[in-house]
Amino acid sequence: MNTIWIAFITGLTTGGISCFAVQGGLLASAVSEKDGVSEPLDDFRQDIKLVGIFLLAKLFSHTLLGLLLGFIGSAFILSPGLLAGVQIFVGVYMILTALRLLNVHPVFRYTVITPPRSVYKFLKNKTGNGSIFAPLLLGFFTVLIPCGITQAMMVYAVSSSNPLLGAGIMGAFVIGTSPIFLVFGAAMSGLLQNKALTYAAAIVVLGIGLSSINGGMVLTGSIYTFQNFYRAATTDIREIGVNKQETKGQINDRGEQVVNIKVLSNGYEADVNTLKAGVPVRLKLTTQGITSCARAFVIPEFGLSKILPATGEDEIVFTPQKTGRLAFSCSMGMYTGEFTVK
Amino acid sequence: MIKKTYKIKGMHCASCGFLVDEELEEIGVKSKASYQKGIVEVEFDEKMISEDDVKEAVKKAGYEIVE
Repeated sequence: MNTIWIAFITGLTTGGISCFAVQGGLLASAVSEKDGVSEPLDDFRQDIKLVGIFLLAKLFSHTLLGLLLGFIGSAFILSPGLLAGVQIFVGVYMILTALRLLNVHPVFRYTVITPPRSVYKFLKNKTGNGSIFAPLLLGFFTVLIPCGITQAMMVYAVSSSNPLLGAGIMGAFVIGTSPIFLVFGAAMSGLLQNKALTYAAAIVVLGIGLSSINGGMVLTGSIYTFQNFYRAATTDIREIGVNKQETKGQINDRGEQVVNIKVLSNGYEADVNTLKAGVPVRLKLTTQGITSCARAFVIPEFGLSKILPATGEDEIVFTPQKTGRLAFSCSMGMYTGEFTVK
Repeated sequence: MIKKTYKIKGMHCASCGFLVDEELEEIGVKSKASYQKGIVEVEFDEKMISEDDVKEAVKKAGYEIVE
């Protein structure tokens, strides 16, 4: 029982913001497609209804996932490569949606999710509102773009090895994240009524879309990321290239180069920046009371991903073969770092 | 029976197209609206229904036919 309570509190505190950062853009496109209504109060009621449908669909898909995770195990956790693909796809969709909201060109109207007429009629007969199709679909498929904290919950569900507990963990977590979605979702929908504010909302969705694509790029281990552009623009030329101070890891009695990474809420601090190719690396990751998605540690080149405990030590062993850049990051591609392999 | 295509302004989502279709079908007009293209394709018996009736129905849905 305690586990479920922890999942709920996690959702309520950090999960909500983290998830919203990833999925808020989708929610925005879902609520921007509603039927026109005349009364302002009806309008507000419609907003809450749409966000509510989004969240219910999300709750359904995530609880189902929790059930599967508890039952079958880690086969259902997406690899960094797949996650990268989904994030880039979602990011592109959000940018197209933002362009539609900005009315840049009629061609962007094709980003609207249109149900078949039969489905629309069915939904309208049953619920009095046909425009719930988009929130329903999008809410359900948020399960494909779990934010880092959702992934930590997924691992939690796997380790329970119990379908009911797994379902309970994921369900409690989603319920915990709901208040933030309800507040922001309704606000967003209300904002979209006003033309000027719609443009502002579109810019926000554009930003989230770009951030999502960037996250996807980081997860592929690519060098073309905002973090690297920033580093390239701000690093003193004397600190890069031949003149860079190299720090190497100590070799332990197993012949492995030992690297320590301190995991902070907003990034990673490695005590080593250079690795020797062909020699195994024992990477020790230390966390202390970390609740952010930095806990979901990823090395894209090896398809390695590990959820670290909130407080404690964990180890990963791997052998770098290729010389050059070896990137690592959190599973959303937000916090990054790299080694140089020589 | 005649077939006509009108441009509609004011549709901002897919549901808008469906609303237009519903209003037109209620007065006996076969209708297919497309939010993406901003148009509606109609088919009706000109002896029973006038173009003005079609325009009124679209207005009732909340949108306007553009000349």
